[in-house]
Amino acid sequence: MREKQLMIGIPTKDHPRYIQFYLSKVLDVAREYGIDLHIYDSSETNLTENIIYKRIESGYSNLYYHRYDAGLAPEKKIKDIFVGSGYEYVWLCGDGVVLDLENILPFVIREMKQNRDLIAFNCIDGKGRYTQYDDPIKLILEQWVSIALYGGTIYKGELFSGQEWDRLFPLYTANIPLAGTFDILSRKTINVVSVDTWFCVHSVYKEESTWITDGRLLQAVVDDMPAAVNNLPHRYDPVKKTVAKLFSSGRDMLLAPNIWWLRTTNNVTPQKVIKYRKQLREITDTNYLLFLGGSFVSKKIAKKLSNIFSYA
Amino acid sequence: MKKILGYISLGLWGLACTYYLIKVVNAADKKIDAKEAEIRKFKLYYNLCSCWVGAKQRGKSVAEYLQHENINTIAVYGMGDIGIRFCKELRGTTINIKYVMDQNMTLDTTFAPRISLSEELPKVDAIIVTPINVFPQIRNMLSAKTDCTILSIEDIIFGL
Repeated sequence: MREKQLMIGIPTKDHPRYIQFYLSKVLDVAREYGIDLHIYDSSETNLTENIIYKRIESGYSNLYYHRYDAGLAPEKKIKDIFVGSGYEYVWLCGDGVVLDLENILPFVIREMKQNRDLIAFNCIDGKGRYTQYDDPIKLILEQWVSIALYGGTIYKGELFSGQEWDRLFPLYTANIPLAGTFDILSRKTINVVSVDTWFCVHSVYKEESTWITDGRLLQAVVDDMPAAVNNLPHRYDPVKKTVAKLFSSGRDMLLAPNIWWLRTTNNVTPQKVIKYRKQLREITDTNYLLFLGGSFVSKKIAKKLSNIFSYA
Repeated sequence: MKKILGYISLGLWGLACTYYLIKVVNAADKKIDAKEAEIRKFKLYYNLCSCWVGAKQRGKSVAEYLQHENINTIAVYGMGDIGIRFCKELRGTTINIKYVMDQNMTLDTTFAPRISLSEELPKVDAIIVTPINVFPQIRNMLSAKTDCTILSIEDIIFGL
């Protein structure tokens, strides 16, 4: 691979064991192919930093460390991945995802040669369905959810300029990597590919995302994300209603069996269910009364039922 | 009268079913929790072994890593399969396994003398803990008995 052709950007916070495991799986393969890894760390402790610098000192010149304040909003770190990285392609990784680089790099290299705007991995059934997109409407309908997940998409490095990011951030806020991308793609001839294959190894160090553990799932899925969809350019008007509901109908999201899991994680409480009653009725096909009823069940009982029934 | 008896029987039957259902849900919940803990344990070991094999294929050495970290004498806590593999890896190297520990006192001791957890722990450069799924608890237990560095085997294997 050419110098500065591909970088993997990993935003992280207080997951040192995950970073240790990640580097042990990915670093040598990345070095072999000339891929740089950048860690964007806003941890409260120095554990992650110590792990990274130990690796750098042992000779891994393809590893870079960036430290941020612990209270920083994640979007600020992600801006540094997308804007002005200097790389031809950037691979935004999720905090917990461990890429299966050895297996998927030949495919990635081939697709980068096609000058793709995006290379998306879509884990539906892993049967290798390969789809090329030149229509942003078809792309948003089929890949909105897969592109939403950090780790499954490689972006053209120059997709976002600093100006563009700053202009789009007030519209999309935390959803800027996803909605901002579709915003930009609506204004150009697109060259995107998606393949249905596993792109990561199973990581037992993957912890629940903070937006779930902080009880912000309902807000994110039925309020913030539909608002981001609504702010998309007019080109997407015919499909906005459909797209707004896509994320909520995911297997780990607002399906009826998951109500117990949502209850145990404090994402379904009487206050939240009443606050978002209008959005829940609009965005999800699950009966609102199930959310309301489930929100009054004790967390102890919900945990037991979650173990038995929930998909998540 | 018959009707009343009928309702009472129905009520009692309903109560019995509810009681039995609660018992079933509680039992299922406990079993699922236990199974998930077991699955997590084997996933952790799978990750560890996968990284270990990968490191060996890249020519990395546990002994060299320990020497680089200035760890020359060690103790090993946990002499199950992983502990034995770890000790065998260090056979013939300059790393000295001073003693081993395990709750099960009947396991193999050919690598080093076995010390009971009730004894005083001799000083070493590091104690390597191999039951990685309960490392935090073992670390806390050992920290109360010694001020040696306590490392999980993951720290070593993932650092190769």
